[in-house]
Amino acid sequence: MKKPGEPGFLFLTVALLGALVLFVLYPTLRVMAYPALRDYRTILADPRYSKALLNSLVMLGLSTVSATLVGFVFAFALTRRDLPMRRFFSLISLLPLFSPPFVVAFGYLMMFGKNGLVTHGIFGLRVSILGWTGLWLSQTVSFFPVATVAIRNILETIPANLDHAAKNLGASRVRRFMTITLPLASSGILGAALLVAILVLADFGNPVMIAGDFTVLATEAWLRIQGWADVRGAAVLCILLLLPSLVIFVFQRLWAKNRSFVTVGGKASSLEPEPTPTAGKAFLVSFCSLVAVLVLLVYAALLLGSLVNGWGYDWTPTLRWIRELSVQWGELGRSLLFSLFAGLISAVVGMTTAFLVHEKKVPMAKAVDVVAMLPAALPGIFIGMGYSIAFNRPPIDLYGTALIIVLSLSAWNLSTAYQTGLESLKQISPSLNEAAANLGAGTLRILRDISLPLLAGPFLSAFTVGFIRSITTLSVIVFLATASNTVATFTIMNFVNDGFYGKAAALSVTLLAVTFLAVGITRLTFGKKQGSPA
Amino acid sequence: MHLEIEKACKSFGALKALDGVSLAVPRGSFLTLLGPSGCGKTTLLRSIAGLHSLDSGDIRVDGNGLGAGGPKAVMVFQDYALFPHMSVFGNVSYGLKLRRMGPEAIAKKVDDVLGYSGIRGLEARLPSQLSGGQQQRVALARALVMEPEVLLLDEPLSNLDAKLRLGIRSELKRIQKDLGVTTVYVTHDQGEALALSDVVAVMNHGRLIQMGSPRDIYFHPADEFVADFIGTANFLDALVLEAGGGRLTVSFLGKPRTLEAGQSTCRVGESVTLCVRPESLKILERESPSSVSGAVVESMFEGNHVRYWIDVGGTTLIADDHEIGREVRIGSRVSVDIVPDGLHLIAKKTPREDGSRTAVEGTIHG
Ligand SMILES: Nc1ncnc2c1ncn2[C@@H]1O[C@H](COP(=O)(O)OP(=O)(O)OP(=O)(O)O)[C@@H](O)[C@H]1O
Ligand SMILES: [Mg+2]
Repeated sequence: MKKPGEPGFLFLTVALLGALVLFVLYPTLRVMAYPALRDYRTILADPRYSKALLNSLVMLGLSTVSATLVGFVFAFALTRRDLPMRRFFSLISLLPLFSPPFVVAFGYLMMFGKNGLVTHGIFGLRVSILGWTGLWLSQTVSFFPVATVAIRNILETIPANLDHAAKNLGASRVRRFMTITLPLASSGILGAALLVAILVLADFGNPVMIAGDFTVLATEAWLRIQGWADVRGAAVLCILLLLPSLVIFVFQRLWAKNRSFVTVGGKASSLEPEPTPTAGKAFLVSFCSLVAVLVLLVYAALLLGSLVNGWGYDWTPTLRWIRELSVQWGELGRSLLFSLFAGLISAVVGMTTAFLVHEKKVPMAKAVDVVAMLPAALPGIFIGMGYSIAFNRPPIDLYGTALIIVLSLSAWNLSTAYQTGLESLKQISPSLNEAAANLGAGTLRILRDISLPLLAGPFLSAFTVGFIRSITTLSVIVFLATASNTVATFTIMNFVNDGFYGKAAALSVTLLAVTFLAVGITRLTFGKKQGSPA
Repeated sequence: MHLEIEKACKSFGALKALDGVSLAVPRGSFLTLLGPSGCGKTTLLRSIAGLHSLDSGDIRVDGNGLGAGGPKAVMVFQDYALFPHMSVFGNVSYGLKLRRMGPEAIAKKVDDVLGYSGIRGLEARLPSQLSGGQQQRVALARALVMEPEVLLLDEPLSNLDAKLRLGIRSELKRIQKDLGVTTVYVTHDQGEALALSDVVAVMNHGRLIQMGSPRDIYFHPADEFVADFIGTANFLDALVLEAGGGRLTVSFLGKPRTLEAGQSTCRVGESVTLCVRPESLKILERESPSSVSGAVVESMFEGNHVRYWIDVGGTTLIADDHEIGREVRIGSRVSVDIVPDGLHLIAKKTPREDGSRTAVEGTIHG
């Protein structure tokens, strides 16, 4: 119910719509409009880029399938309450979510590269994981946690009594798994695969570190600017990257919409789930342990790397890299600050937009919804490109400023917060808002008194996700970083490329610590308020 | 008239949820909206609450439209809609705070309301820490504290169990009487409607079918729909034998009977529809001059009465026998008579051009 005479509300709506258009839509359209037809021809005619396109698609297939599979096994294992080391595996599956994706590639480079600890140091080999195998492994380990979270949510909605009912009807364990668990989870598995696919396609950090000569679109776009200063060509490559991403994204949205039947029979069951058979346990534990080793290798490499003199040739311990970190305080501080702001802005704007769209208080709610969801489909490199084209010269010149990084990160994370907000709002009974309106509250009062307090929990998680994604990203900022506003991930990339493994490792470890600390402090400070029952 | 609704229309797409509803009740009356699911009761209530606007028509409280001033009509929602993150005090005081009332005044008013709603002492609790009945009272208190011109209740008791319903129902009636607040109450439950209301408005398909006192509605249903919706009724076609002097004589299952003609203008020789409530039929041990006889085809024990289905010359009558000491076997022959004034004429169906029934305009003078 739109009430006349709510200037605050009107102002909010206009400001929000303006911000969405200027900071989401405009940069996107600028990239699209940037190259001329001629540029497409040049790029497409070059076999180098058709190869990159092909490589991108190959990795899309390989890594999506492997990450989803690993994610599924992990999710399945984590839902078995009688599995040994369940907590440990749960922790392992969360760890990569907190780390910059490229950290995984970097870790494997240190372990399995030409001077790798495992390959060279232990086995004395001169082989390297550099190339598509390394990329495959890195992407699988980087992105399987996303699938695990998504699939685990689905598996937990399958009531145990279905399993019991099937057993009661005489179905064997294997049969039950094939006929009950898999079909009920299948839509969730595909949904998770689509989420992973978007991440794999947009992945920049892993290939830039470990792909070597195996080029993909995201890295080629970056090289096009680094090497040739060819913005138009880079824009074409970004658009080539965007198209499959958009297709997957649209498919994923439609899929998510139609899968509500999964929650049928959500009545909580008091039945204990079936005990896992020993063979099943053995398989799950050994599989998860293997993955756990792969995950832990990464962090072991980082820790070790920051404590030895010369990775691969001089293993004498040193605190040199840690001491030299003082030069990098600037980057670390900026990483932290920018990400806090980006997390906050994206959460506030995303949630407010969700509120206005949900209450249908905003004109063209459908269009607003599309714009707010758009960043989820945009590869990070595309957003960075868009900001560098749109805001690098007057009328809006943000070149080299902190603002351009904060804004681009906020825009990139907008969709996550928006979606979180929308999902949570759907669970709030509409009569609450009506009751408040009936007692005389205007739209802004309802937002302040009813919606926002009830959204405190979701808000906190949207903020946290936005913060983590911001502090760990490389792709978004790679086109925007200059000497004055560079952040830690950018510096780490340069260190790795220049062979300063010790410095890179020390900075990575510190960045991880900062991330954990910041998330921990936020949770401890504000998390308690979530305790109020909703 | 305190609450006046004039030709209220509201459509959702092609569906006419409200189709020209007009009614008016004096201050302090307890009006119940009754009707089958989807007939537009909630829609009418929400329109009075100002939660959505009408397509056309007008709603006035005390002669003024809804737009001006603060909330005039405050609603108690079916699911209570208590703010889960606010304490009982927070919930009840919310509307007063919006009115910028001072903290002492708020504390006093809230305490008063909680007092007569019977939930004093629960101020600090969250809604999730209350029983269903207590939540119900908080919802009511939150509305009453606003001292609304009109109190709106949408099936407020439907989430409570049967025993609690009866208790809260009489308490609700008491509070409403004490405060003298005009109340519009929505329910599915005809028993509730008859027990609570000064005025019952029966709706169907977005229209007002009949409005009147509970006795009126029960004993003089305007048509078969109302008679059937409220309680159980026997419908019988009969021939008018005599008419005049405000009375009619009809032939009822072959025996002549006299009844009030009301406003109807029936002529001799016309066929009319009559309605008899099951409790107006008496089962006799032996025949009387006015009784008819038939065979019991079915019986059902319902606690305080036994319901019989009796076949009288091809017509099945439903009769409730309150003398449950005796048991009439299925198949046995009985005599049935009608208690005095038990027979009612159903207002003649006046088909309109489109074949649907006319909506009525209801006004109750108090
Ligand atoms: N927001 C809406 N959008 C579309 N149709 C609606 C909406 N609200 C109500 N309706 C329709 O209008 C009609 C009347 O609805 P209403 O809620 O007033 O019924 P009701 O009499 O309260 O029914 P019940 O006793 O089941 O609560 C129904 O057919 C309903 O489907
Ligand atoms: Mg209703």
